[in-house]
Amino acid sequence: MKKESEMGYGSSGVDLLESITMKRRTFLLGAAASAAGLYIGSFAPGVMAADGHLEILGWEGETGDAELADWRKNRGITVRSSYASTQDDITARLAGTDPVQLDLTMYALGYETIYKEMDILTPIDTSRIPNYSPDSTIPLFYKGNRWYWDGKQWGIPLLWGMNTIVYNVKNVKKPKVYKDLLDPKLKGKLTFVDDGLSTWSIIAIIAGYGDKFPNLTRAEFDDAFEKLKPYRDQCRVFASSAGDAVSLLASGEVDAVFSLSAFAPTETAKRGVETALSVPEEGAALWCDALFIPKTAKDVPLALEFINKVLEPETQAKMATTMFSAVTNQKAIPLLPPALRETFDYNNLDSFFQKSKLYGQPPLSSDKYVTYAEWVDQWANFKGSF
Amino acid sequence: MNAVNQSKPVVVGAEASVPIKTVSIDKKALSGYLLATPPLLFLIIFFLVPSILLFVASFWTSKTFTMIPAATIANYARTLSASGFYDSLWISMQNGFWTATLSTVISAPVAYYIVYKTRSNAVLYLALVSWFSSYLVRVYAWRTILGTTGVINSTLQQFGIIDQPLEWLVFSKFSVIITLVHIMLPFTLLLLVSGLRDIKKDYLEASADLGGGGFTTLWKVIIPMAHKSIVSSFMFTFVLAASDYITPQLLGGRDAMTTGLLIANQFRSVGNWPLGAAMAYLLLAVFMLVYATLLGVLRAANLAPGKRYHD
Amino acid sequence: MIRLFTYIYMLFLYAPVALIVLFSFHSSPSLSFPFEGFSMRWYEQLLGSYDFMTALRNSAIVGGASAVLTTILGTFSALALMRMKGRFKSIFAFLNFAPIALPGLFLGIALVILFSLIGLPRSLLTVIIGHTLFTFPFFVESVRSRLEYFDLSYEEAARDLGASPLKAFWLVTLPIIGPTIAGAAILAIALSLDEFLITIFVTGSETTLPLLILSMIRRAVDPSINAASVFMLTLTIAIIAIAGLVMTMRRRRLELERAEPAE
Repeated sequence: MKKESEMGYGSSGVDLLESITMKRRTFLLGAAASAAGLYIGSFAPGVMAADGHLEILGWEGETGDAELADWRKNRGITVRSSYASTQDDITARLAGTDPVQLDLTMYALGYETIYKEMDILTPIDTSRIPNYSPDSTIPLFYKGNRWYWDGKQWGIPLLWGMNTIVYNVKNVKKPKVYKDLLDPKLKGKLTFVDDGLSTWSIIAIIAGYGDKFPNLTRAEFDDAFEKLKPYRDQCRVFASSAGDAVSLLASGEVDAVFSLSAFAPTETAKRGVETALSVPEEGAALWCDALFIPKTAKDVPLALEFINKVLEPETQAKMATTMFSAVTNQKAIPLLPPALRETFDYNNLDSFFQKSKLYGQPPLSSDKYVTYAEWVDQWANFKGSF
Repeated sequence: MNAVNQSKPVVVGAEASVPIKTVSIDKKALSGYLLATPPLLFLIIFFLVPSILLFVASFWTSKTFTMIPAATIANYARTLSASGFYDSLWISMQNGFWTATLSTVISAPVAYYIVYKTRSNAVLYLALVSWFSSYLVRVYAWRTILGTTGVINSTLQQFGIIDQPLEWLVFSKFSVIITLVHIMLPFTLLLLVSGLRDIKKDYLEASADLGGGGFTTLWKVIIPMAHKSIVSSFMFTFVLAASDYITPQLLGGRDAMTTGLLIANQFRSVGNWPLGAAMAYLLLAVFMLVYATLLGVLRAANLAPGKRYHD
Repeated sequence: MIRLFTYIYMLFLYAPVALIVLFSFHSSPSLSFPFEGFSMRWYEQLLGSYDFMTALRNSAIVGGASAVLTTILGTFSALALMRMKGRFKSIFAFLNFAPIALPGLFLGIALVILFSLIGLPRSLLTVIIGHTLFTFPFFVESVRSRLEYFDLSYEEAARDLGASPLKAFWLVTLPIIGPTIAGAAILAIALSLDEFLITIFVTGSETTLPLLILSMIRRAVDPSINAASVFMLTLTIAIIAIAGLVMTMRRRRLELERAEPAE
């Protein structure tokens, strides 16, 4: 190739050639990009403030836009938050050899496995986050193996909650066990949320493999999906997201959801339909969103400061209230409205966590257990009744 | 060029006019190639090169969003040996076929109306403007219309026409196709209008003068002359409807597992880009097969002349 | 009868749009009947939302820029196809169509790989490139079917009369294909405003309108998405109406200047 023909000039010749072509290429692209950037930038009000700037990608309501407005002002910094609609949106930004520049983003429970393998996480210096400590943080969320491994902290739990049965109070008797959802009266009126990770753990629970999930053998896996079939026969539609499940409940298309986040009843109530949560005997699955600093972060100290700020009791309480979810800082518990405090049973957290667990993700590769990719495929086949 | 053109009226003799004509054709072709250069460069850089990269990558293996160079047909073999792929393909093709057929057939009379009955483009622009109501919002609007407690069901129940809500209205093939048709209509209309504009009214009148009825005119004049825009209207709609997975997911109920969603799973959730690319190329092959079949059918029915009408 | 059919057709197109408008004024967060009353709350919420205004601005930039780019490249393509012949023409025509035959996600990932290779960071610029790639086939196809039987002799006649190629295009070809180009450009903007499959991959931390709507419906669907849609629709109608007015006026003036035979 060309490179070889240049070898006669010595290695410096190659370097020179490369550097020239690089320069020209970079220059052209840079010129085009900066021209566009200049134009686009002229619209953005002060993206680059004097005292620092953070680029955050996360879930709407969890990036502290409203809660931390005063802090940003006093501190003289700017934050640009953009929102993801699924975890895959965040992955899309960080995939590839040239990931998007982000100072802070989030992973839902289970995705740490993927992100660890993608090598996009960085260790977090917890000494800079006083609000993440044994006396502030609920023990389950302090250095748990979903956020802490190899002696390092990789993610900081921000908010948590549970996914459980949500049902229409008027039309359905409270389901006490998952089997109650097989009631002929619910024919065509049940739905699943098409959110793999949070639903899969319950699939395993129903089949009696709750203790083994996420590590199921092929036989257990096949058995679990076989046992799930009667539930599928109750469904006319699969909700594409939690929000979709709420609108299906609100418009009366369905009367019960297999596993939905605890905020659903407040949302359906706003739409004139009364629904309630039911944690069946078998237990529910917990979810937890954690903050992490990707490798593309520019201002790590500020990102750490931000993490500490969102973990403050006041911020936690405000955020959890608008999101109808649970806090990881126990000092925030007294600041919560009573209804919210009861939903997550903060007084008996130990027994609560005994029943409903933090589940991880099936292994990415394994000879013994069914892998994540196989779960995704099977879940698609299951939904399509293939 | 000017010199050539100026000499055109001066026809010296038969042998002289031949080279002149050749020169002008070459110039025409040359200007064609020149005009093609900017879009060609754009397509080569931003479409052909990356697509070829991904085509090569479809023979690679993968480890969670990282592609590992290899030379294996495993991705193709795996896709083609999974029954779910065929099932989803069948659903996708049905979505594509019905949406394309209905959109084209329904839009044709309106295109005819726009071109021959009213000389104004108002109807066309009005149709195009409806596209600016966001896709996702429209999908939800269709739920409000077709839902169990939706506009149609509650109206029919109010008038005592039905006792029970019609089950097939929503979360069915019907609701997917009606929504996809609604989304595609403005585009098929635009293509058909563009196609019909070139058939001057004289041709239709000539056909009528020769005793051709409305049907004969349609079959012998309009369709053969407009077949290219009919084919492209059908194919575009087919491809878009068949690869869509958002509408099927939100409105399709349990018949919603399309190939597009399986591909999305590989690209977005699993991060097996080589496998996703292999599936995308298989889908492309199917689309080309559909295109060839469509052309074959039209040719067999004598509706797609190989030659241009007025050259 | 055909007129009646057209009316029904338009009714079918606009019935869901009417419903979207109606529910954008709903006083309750519900998107289903019974309709409980009118309120402007969703509009107020949107207009007060920095995120919405930012996303709207981003979408406007991307839609505008990619439509301009598509129109320029696409017109070149369509004019070229008109003049080309034989094998190269079929290859070029296929290449013009092909981006649409591959799933949007495929294009998104292919572009991400390319951008990584050439060291172009993801930003609105990469979104513009992605959208241009997506809208380009639509544009070419709609203009091409108009040009398929276009008689080049008109243009040649103008050239014979001494017009430069550009002038011949400007005075002869453009007035004839103008409405089609305008229609196709509108289409390109509409497609860009709705695109999210490619965008999710090729955008940096910028949010466009459909991405915002997607993140809004993650937790709960409410009429704010309707209000966003109506906002967009109104804005578009206004822009198109103004553009139409300007074009009509320009045309009138041209017609007055030279007694042009009607098309």
